[in-house]
Amino acid sequence: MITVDAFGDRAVLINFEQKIALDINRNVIQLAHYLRSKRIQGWKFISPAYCSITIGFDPLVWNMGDVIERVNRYLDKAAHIWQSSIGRSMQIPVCYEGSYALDMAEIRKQTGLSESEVVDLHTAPGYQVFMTGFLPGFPYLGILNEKLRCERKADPRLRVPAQSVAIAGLQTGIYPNASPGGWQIIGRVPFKIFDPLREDPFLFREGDMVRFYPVSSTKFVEISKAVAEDHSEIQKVYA
Amino acid sequence: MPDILTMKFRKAGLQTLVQDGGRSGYQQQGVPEGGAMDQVSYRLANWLVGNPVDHPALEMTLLGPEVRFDVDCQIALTGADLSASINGQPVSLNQTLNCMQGDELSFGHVHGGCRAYLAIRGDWMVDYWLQSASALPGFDEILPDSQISDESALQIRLKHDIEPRAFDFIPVSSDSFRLRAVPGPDSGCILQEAVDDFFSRTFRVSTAANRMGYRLEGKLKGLGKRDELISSGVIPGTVQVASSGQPVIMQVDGQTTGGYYRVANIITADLPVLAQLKPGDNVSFQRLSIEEAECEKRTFYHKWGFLFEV
Repeated sequence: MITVDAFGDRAVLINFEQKIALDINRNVIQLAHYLRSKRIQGWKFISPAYCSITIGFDPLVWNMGDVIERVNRYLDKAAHIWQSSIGRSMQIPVCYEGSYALDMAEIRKQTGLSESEVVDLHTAPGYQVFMTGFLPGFPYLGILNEKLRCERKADPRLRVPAQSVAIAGLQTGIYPNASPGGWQIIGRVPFKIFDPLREDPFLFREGDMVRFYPVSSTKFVEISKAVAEDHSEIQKVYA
Repeated sequence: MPDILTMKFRKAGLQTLVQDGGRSGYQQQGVPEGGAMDQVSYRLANWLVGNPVDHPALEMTLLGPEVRFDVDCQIALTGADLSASINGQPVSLNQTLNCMQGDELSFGHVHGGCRAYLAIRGDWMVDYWLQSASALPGFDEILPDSQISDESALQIRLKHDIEPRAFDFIPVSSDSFRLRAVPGPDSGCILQEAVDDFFSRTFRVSTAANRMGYRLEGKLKGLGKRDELISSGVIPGTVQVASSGQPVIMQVDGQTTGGYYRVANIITADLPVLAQLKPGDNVSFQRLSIEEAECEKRTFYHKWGFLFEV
């Protein structure tokens, strides 16, 4: 059941079934991509989240009733879009060693797993980028193996290092910059996932399918250097 | 006449930023809209000097900068009344001011409001990122020059003078506000008591009030212990209620998604007023229907459309 309602006086909120689930989020992203493909003048942004989409519109150009009607009209004709593919396939190196995995001890304590079991479970599944948000380019990835479920930190860290890979509940994500954060740090990516100076600053888009693979700290430094020297190296993540 | 103005800052002020109309269309990547908080005052300042209304200008918060102009130029000040003076002589808001080489602009006490705008006629020679000159909080490497510090300098390519303009605009002088809002998308999920409480109380703006959001003092009644929401979109003007019951009004540099209940949205017509609230001010909220809000929006653009049609 999809509902379309006013969200303030210059945005519309499309709600799907309110649940964190791969298939629901997949439909959210399919609809968001479909609506964007219409390139409607005066629709300023179309932002998908787990199970909702926010459309911001220019109030000089559109009124609420017309936007809601237009969305409903597209929904009536949208049957074909639920088959469309939603994103790219990505391979992301992560170093799970030593000081990169700041909370490994805490994660082991909460899960009762060994370090290698933690790494195996984190690298096993392909994750869907449910949405990007919180910070520029921060990918919300899921769904994590139930055995890795950890509580958020009671006292959030004041400064999570940039590029940290973190877990909380059944989610995993990557911090684009040094920022406060309450997730448990499991490892680190050897390059910037958000770089304002790159032509496309954002490594991830909603709908991308992400697989992590473990690298040693030596390899971490190697990749890090290679990307710093040649920006196009980063394209290797899109396998 | 020299065609480049160099503005030299002696003192930066509390928070002095190059701002513009903001960047639109990157919310889905977690990039906030940014831009001047009070879009009416900001655009009016540019209009008063004959610049494109969405050209860069300075946003000054509570304590203004001290700045010297090294050539003749035309400027305009709008928004909060921060007791602006040129060479020690008080100057008026909301009109074109002709400045002379060597003039010094400074500010004093806050007479009303929170954010003032300074536009200068000409092309601002500033950097852009994703089509906006607005800084991105937390990423100092993006547009470092847009955050004014002591000893900063800005350069502007001057244009020929225009006939001075003035606009009849009464600046904020009160520290008590009544903003209009429509109930938010989650107002049906939480107890009616909490929504009613929000619309019937007067809140004080806490010291945690900035370009990301305004935290209000106090806790809403009847919220009880509830699960957090699944993260969903928030926009400037969205009022979220933290699990503690404390309301937070999201602002232009705030997060683009949030996991708290969205109890209300401030109407578009009142967002410029919202930008003028400062810590310690009192604020209450009047409940409007969407239809009433749309009506107010039409009235707002009827008056201010000339500043928004680019």
